[in-house]
Amino acid sequence: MAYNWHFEVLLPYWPVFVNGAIKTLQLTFGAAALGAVIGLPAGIGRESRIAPVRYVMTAYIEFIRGTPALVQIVWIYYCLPILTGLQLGAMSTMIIALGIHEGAYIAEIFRAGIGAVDRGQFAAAYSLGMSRMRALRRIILPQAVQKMVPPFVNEFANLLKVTTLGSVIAVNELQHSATGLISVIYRPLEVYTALAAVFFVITYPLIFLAGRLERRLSSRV
Amino acid sequence: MAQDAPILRLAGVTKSYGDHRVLDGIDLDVFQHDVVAIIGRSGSGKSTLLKCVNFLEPYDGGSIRFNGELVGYVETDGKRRLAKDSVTRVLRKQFGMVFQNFNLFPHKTVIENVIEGPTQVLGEAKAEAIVRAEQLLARVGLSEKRDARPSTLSGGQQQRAAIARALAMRPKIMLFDEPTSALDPELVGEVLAAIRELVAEGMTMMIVTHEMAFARDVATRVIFMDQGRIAEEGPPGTIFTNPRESRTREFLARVLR
Repeated sequence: MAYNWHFEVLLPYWPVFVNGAIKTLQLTFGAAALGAVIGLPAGIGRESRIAPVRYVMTAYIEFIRGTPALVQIVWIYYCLPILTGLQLGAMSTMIIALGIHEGAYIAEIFRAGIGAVDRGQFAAAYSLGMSRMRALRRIILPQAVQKMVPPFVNEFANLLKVTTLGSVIAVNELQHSATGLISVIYRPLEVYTALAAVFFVITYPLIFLAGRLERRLSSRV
Repeated sequence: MAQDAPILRLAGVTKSYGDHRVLDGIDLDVFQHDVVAIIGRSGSGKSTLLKCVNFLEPYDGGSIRFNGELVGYVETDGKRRLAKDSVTRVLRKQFGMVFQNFNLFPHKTVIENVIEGPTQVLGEAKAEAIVRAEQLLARVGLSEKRDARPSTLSGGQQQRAAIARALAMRPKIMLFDEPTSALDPELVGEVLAAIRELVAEGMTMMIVTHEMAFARDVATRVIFMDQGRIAEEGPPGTIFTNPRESRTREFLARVLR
């Protein structure tokens, strides 16, 4: 049974994909930024010498990594307003939920990056009289960041795909825009195929970049 | 010339890793201008001892006092607890430490390595720190490597840069943890020469080393450590030519062969 493809019917609707892509990128950058802001202190805090800080950060990271992003989004969107009276818009919900979600993964990237720096660097920094925070900021993180770039770009590419979950709470990112378009032109095969193509076009450069960076950074050592 | 009070006094210092007692009651006084060479087999606790002195490693029992001040702990009503990190840091920055593996900061140039402590910890102005760092680099013969990255230097050059970095903190005591053990044999001499110069200037120091000829030459006192204890201690002339303990004799027979 051969299907007759009619991609040309999509042409007039190109703005749907462009606007969807813009929303998707807004979600991705917003959540990545929030994730980095949460992830840095969480990753450092997980190794803190202060026990309560360590416990709280570990609990956050493990809990988030142990629950699906979809459940986190739905919980913040539907449960949080009932419990607190605080109703966030769909877009804000997505950025906050994915930011908290990414924070846990980025925390682990920070932790692994810091762990990959030679212990002697801490010893040298401490021997100069530096505090742990100053040693991290001046000596350890600048070296760790190099090691963190490839996994961070990878995580960014993952996040870009996870934003499709926004469709369940009617955020007009790519997935949701595509579903909407189908109900107008009744061409699911063309629309979903085009959707996949658009995602690939956005995501592949990132994956390519991550691979390049990985090779360049490893050859430098 | 030794003064009356030691600047560093260790009394009954102990430390264990699990069941293994690395330091088993160390008593040691270090006076101004002393050059204390610490020798012994690997695993005898030499390096751990050095790291306990500036509290890079916490010790368990006994006391380490620097100019009379307890290192790393505070005692109230006979009970001991960890001192605030900020208090320990004030003591720690008076020790200069040189590591076996140099531990230069690889993302910084040589001069940036040297000014890092003075500008970040001592609060010196950058311009002033650079002037002094250049003098220190000249002293260890590294002026032309001022703007080089550590990874482009030989081991000997890296270690001399590390010595300059430690000196930039104007330490009261220098701690050398096997400063030449990671070096190719032909590079050992230049590092020892730099240390020798410090000895000539009267710097107080503790050196963990396997360079027996060097220890014999520059040390005012030699400590032989065995199984976490000071097995024998004395002037180099005595330790190297006429040791009292059979353990010392056996060790020296092996390393001087």
